Amino acid sequence: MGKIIKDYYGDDTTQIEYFKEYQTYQVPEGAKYIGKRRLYRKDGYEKASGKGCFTRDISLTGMLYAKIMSSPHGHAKLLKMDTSKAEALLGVRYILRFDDPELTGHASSIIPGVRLASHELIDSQAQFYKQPVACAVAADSPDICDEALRLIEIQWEELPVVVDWEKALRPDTTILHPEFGFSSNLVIDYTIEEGDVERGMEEADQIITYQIRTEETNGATTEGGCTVVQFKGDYLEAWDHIQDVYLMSKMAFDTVPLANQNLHLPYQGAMFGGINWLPFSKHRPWIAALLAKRTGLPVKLLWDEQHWYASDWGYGTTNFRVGFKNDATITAIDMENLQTGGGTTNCLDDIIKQSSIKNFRCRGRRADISRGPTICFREATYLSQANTLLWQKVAAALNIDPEIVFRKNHGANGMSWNSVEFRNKRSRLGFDPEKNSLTECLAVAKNAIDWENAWHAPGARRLPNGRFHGIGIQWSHEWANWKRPCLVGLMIRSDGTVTIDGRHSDIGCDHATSCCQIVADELGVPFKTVSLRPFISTSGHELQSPGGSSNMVSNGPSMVRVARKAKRMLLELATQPGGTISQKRTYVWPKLPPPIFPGKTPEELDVKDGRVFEKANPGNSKSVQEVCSYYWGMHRQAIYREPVQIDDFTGPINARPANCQQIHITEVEVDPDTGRVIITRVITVNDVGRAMNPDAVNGQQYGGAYMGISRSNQEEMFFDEATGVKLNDDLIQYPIALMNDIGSIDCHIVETGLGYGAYGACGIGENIGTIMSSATNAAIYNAIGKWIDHYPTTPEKVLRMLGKV
Amino acid sequence: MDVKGQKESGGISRREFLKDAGILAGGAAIGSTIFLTACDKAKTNTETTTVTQTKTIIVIPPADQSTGSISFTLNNKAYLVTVEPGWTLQYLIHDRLGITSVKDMCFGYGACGSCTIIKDGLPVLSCMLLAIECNGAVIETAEGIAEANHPLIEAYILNNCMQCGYCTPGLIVTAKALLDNNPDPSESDIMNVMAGNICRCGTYPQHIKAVLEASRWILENK
Repeated sequence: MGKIIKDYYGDDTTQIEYFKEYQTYQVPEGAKYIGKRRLYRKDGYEKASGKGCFTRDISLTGMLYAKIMSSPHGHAKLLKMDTSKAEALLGVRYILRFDDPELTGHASSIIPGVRLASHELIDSQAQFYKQPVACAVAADSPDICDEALRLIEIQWEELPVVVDWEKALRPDTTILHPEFGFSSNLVIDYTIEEGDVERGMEEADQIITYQIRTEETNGATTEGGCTVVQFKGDYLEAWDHIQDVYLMSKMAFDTVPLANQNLHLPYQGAMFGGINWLPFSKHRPWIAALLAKRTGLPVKLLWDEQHWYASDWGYGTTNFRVGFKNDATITAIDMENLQTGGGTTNCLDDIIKQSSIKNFRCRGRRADISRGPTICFREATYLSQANTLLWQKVAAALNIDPEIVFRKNHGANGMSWNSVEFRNKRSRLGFDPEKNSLTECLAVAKNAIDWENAWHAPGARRLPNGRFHGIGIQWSHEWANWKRPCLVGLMIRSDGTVTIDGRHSDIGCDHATSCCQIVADELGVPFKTVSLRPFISTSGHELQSPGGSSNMVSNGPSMVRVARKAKRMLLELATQPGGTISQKRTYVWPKLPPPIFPGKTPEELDVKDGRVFEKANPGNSKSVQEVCSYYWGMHRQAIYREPVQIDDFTGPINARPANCQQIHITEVEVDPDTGRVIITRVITVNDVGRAMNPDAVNGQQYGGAYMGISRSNQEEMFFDEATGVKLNDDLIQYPIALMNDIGSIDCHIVETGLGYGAYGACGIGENIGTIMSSATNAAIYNAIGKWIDHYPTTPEKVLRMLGKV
Repeated sequence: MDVKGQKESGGISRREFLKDAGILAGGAAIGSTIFLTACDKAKTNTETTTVTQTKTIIVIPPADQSTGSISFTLNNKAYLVTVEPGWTLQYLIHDRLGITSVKDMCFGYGACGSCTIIKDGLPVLSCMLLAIECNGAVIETAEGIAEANHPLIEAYILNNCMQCGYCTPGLIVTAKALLDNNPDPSESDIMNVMAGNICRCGTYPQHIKAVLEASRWILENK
């Protein structure tokens, strides 16, 4: 059994010192940009005008296109392949076979805990539908690639498939891989426990059990997989649709020294996480590079199917047994996950880091099935629909307002939020122990919808239009973890403009604008003079990538520090003798031109609105440009580097207390005749600690709401059980939410300053996409008095629960 | 649908498929009536709640198929290009002419709207059009809209209408087509017309605000 709860507030003094330092950061007095709306976002014109460049937009002289064959079968072995007809097709330049010596022996794993996770770069055995297999074709156009792939003749041995994870573990089921000696399809089975679950159950006044099944959904992202590679002699240049450039360089091009690689990260289309992990994300650059080397031409490898064969890892079945007192205190949780989260127990993290519950057990199991690999897709596992219904289920059993359950169990790492122990721990890090994010978020949410009048007993309110009204509330915590290294450079140029240098994958969260806001206010320069272009870094600076998730926790403090360091150095510069080389020539050494602020110390100066000025005499000022050009002339820039700050993020269960909370309310109307669930209103309340860019925060709120509701209400991947073929892997048959699918979404921002980042900020966006699902389900329960414990909550399921089907 | 016009190598030709599906000429059939209804409502200033999908036929001059050359206007620039029979207009514009705002999110299913262009005044899906059928067309993309300093661009930026940005140009083109035909749309007009554009990031609420803001600017500065 593994220990779950780790005292994150006591175990690592290095991190403690960082957090304490970050809590001292205050937004500069008179800040003009942090927290402001309607700023001209840094990527705004590019994206609105269509000039924003994505990997799929890259076009190089003489470039070939390449595509990889996708398996037409759910489970099959390649017996024989004849590429002669494809090779004879005009316009085909190269066919890379699976058994090419430079391809074999480079298997890499998908994600931990998945048996048979290793796949060759191009495999000869398909374990799921549309797995990249057999060969890759390089040709003059995408159409010729498609035609060539159609001409390749393959003899397949079709093998048995199992697509349902529950069926995969039945005693009479087909064993998928007997050739390896496996006697069952079970891949993972382990249990972790904290406290004494059975004792907790004995102490409970009531015990409820329920099961939730979630069907597979898909990222259905916008930009298909793509890598562009060209060689210039021994030097490799590449562009990729990927979140993490180091994975791209290290894993994919390890035959080319890192120093010989020039890697670009263009804008990333709908990159919601996890695609990096897939071996094929890593293999794609490798295959493209091989083709570029063999043909001597640039190659653009298109992998249209990428985001259809992988899916989010929130699907599966979870069984709950929950013990609680009549006052809503939860005494024990006993969970069994099958498949969801890859069969892991990590879902416990998010109960531990926001609650005072002491007794847990979680069994995680995963079965081999004939489906593609799974990835986190805006964090669908840790905060899966199943986990986050826990509070509502207890509230329903007690017939009380869910808020009572939230408050009763609010805390972290087994500590109650208002316990002396936890208050002291928060104080030690510099947090205000009196602040309570849950209280603040609840107040905002309930006030926004007049909860006291809107909430009612389940099934008790039927509207004049014949539909049932329902309202549901959901509680979770903000995304505050995954702090990662950030190495940023800042250049103040001789024309007074400022460049933040740090490559990272820009996935559209407007991270660049937020960083520029911080730097502009900390350094004292106009926002429009600061830029951050994330696509490439020749000086080795890398921000936490992607520019999403909790990047303000990682990159935010680094922006503060580097800007403050740059300001100190600028003011020191302004008080030193010196000047340009040509100016120095007019003096005889050791005489030098006088300082631009003669007789002053750095402490007597400051910077504001792009001007360096004497504090005691503001009229004595020079623009930053004048200062820089005085000292540097035309060709010099100063670079101020912030070192890497690495989180110790270790351990299987990463339960750093999540101080900031979030509350979401969904209001629905359920049509009892059609089963249709109409989302009439959504309230999202997120405590982000400190909102650098409120417009971007709102974007994550309504974007996450759309995604979460869409996933839980209407999205589902369908498989043919006999063949393992996905039946709806296109945007026509896989219905993601459109503009008129959801009613109004009211977004509210709370700023308690309880985040771990600069100014008390934390992340946003990851888990809204999942939390909304359970708020909607709770609303449906409130409407019809029945739980739909099977996602998505389609009309058919509603009608079934109403006894009409 | 009858299968006609077999290619020499077997299988139905793309031309014949599109022709049989009745969406060859103009390529605007599926969405055009919804769009025109939204514009018509502006003229009558009444709300409608029903939408019918019928084919709209637009007559275009025949292409010179013997040489594969077509001429057209794109963002106010004249082009004369030689195209392959199987090229879609989206492929021509994006891959061959380098006007990369015209995306292909759904890989040619006509499902996403990211390839939307304005062709002869109407928003159409360029992935559903063959390039060779576009001889004489007047085409506008997001780049042209930006070059003309249309107020939509500023409104989109200030209303934070983009996240990853992949779908943004297609939405702007659709919005511009709407405003060209209906300078004073209602919220429901905007939602109905733009419901054919997919945004996975979920930026939808902001587009309504941006279009209304641009509309107000246009009306005030008429």
